[in-house]
Amino acid sequence: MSTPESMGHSSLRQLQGVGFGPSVEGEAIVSRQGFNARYDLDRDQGVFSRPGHDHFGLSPAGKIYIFTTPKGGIATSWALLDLQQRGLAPLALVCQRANPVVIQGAVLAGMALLDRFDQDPVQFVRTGDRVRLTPATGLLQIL
Amino acid sequence: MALALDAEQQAMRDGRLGEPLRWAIEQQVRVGEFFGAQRLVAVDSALIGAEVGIMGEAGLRQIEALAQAGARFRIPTITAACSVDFERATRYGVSQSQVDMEHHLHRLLRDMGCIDSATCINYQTVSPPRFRQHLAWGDTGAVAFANGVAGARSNYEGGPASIAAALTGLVPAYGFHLDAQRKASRVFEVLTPLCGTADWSALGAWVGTQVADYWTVPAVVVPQANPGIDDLKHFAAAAASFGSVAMFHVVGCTPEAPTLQDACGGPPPARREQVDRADLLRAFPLLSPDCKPDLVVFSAPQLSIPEVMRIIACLGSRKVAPGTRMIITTNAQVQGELQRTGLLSQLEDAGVELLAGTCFYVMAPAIVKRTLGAHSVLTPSTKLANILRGAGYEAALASVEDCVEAAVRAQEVIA
Repeated sequence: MSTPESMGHSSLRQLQGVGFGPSVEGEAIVSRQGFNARYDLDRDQGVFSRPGHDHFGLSPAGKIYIFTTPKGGIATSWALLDLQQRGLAPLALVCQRANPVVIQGAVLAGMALLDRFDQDPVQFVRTGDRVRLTPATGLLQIL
Repeated sequence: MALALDAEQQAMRDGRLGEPLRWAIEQQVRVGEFFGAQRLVAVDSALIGAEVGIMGEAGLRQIEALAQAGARFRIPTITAACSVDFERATRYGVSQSQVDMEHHLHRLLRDMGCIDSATCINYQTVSPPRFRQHLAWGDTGAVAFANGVAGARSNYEGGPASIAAALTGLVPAYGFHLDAQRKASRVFEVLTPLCGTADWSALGAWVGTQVADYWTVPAVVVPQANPGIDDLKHFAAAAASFGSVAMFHVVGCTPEAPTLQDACGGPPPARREQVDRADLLRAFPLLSPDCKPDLVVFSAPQLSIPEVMRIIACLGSRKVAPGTRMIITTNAQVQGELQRTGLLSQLEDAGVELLAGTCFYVMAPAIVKRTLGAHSVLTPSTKLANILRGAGYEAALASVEDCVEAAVRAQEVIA
């Protein structure tokens, strides 16, 4: 598969996936790692706390958080609601293939989520890109 | 495609059977439709993940609202490990307020009809699963065990989803409730002999890391494999923890895999991924050779009676050395049996600390780390080692026997 570097980052402006939740627009924070709220986040502060995490010390709050795959346990489904009510949650979640725990959490929190893309979103969106999610049609657009 | 509901299910969704059931089934319908489920299926038990440590005040308020609205669980519902040992947590620096919140939560859950066993090894103690039984279990290691080892059927049901299932007695029929989803598409051939739970835990970590996908089912081929239930329990927990794996086969050992062909539901893939000893060593971090572990922890999952007996046998008449702490976590059922047979006081006399109803990594790991002044930990559980690395520990794996030796001799066993 072509990388953003080899094909030109701007050449791909949208990806087709499957979505849930409200349409949202915001800044992307893209991780090349998996995600689990227990393993990776300091949930008091809402920042990535796992040593070696590619956004260590940063917060996904209010951003469209794009990651590779959910990891491990059940913690994420409660944690999304808790983070959201404290203003620390991402605006939306994007990954190539979600597991049930992430979907259950997004449904509980009413948070937008997209997965099952025709191309891997981690390869095509960069941290800082402005993106729009339209879950009803499954569309992720880089603005 | 819309998920079909029968008359009672539609009444739940319309709110005619009360707000808790409306709240529950609405989530289930949305999740089910996202995954293309066409119906809901009845489940025989729920294992619910509810601990204040992870659900926070938002989750606690949700449970309060359900309890106040008269919510009652329809099926046998067991609590998964909670975030404190109620008797001992404050000794480890956990605040009384967190213990009180956890008490409050568990009282609410009991009022709703919960069997409050606080265990992640319900499959070894209070509610063993049955072949082809549909379940709504929350703890991911327990789900992987139920699917893989017992041939039962469950998806990962996270905290709110497992409570929803306990209320409705139903789950959306997708994923591992369906025959087609349970077939292996990747085959791992193990070339090294496996000895003890730590080896199986390392294999689970390796396979989980390679698979890294909930929807992919691995089949493991281990020549002359004769794993015990505790070996498979550690494999399941690690594969789930490292790779979100919820279903697996060990050919010749697990019920849906008498042969590799059966595991794959037809001709196996041409490629077999070979696993040797070096791969297992890569699956977990090592302490540096000159580092002495501050803690030796047996946890994740909670220990069974045979696992505790193994530790007692390794200890013999020796005691944990000064400067090292050895901690075991288990559930109240195992603790009760240890107490009844005099083994608990034997462990305590040897300087071993027991925690019940929790798991080491769920009990306020940052606070406990500070209280114990601990930096390094040795454990036979790759799941624990991995999670504790995230909490800032240096963590390494060793066999149960080597972990005990490290604790009593207070010297490193890792070369």
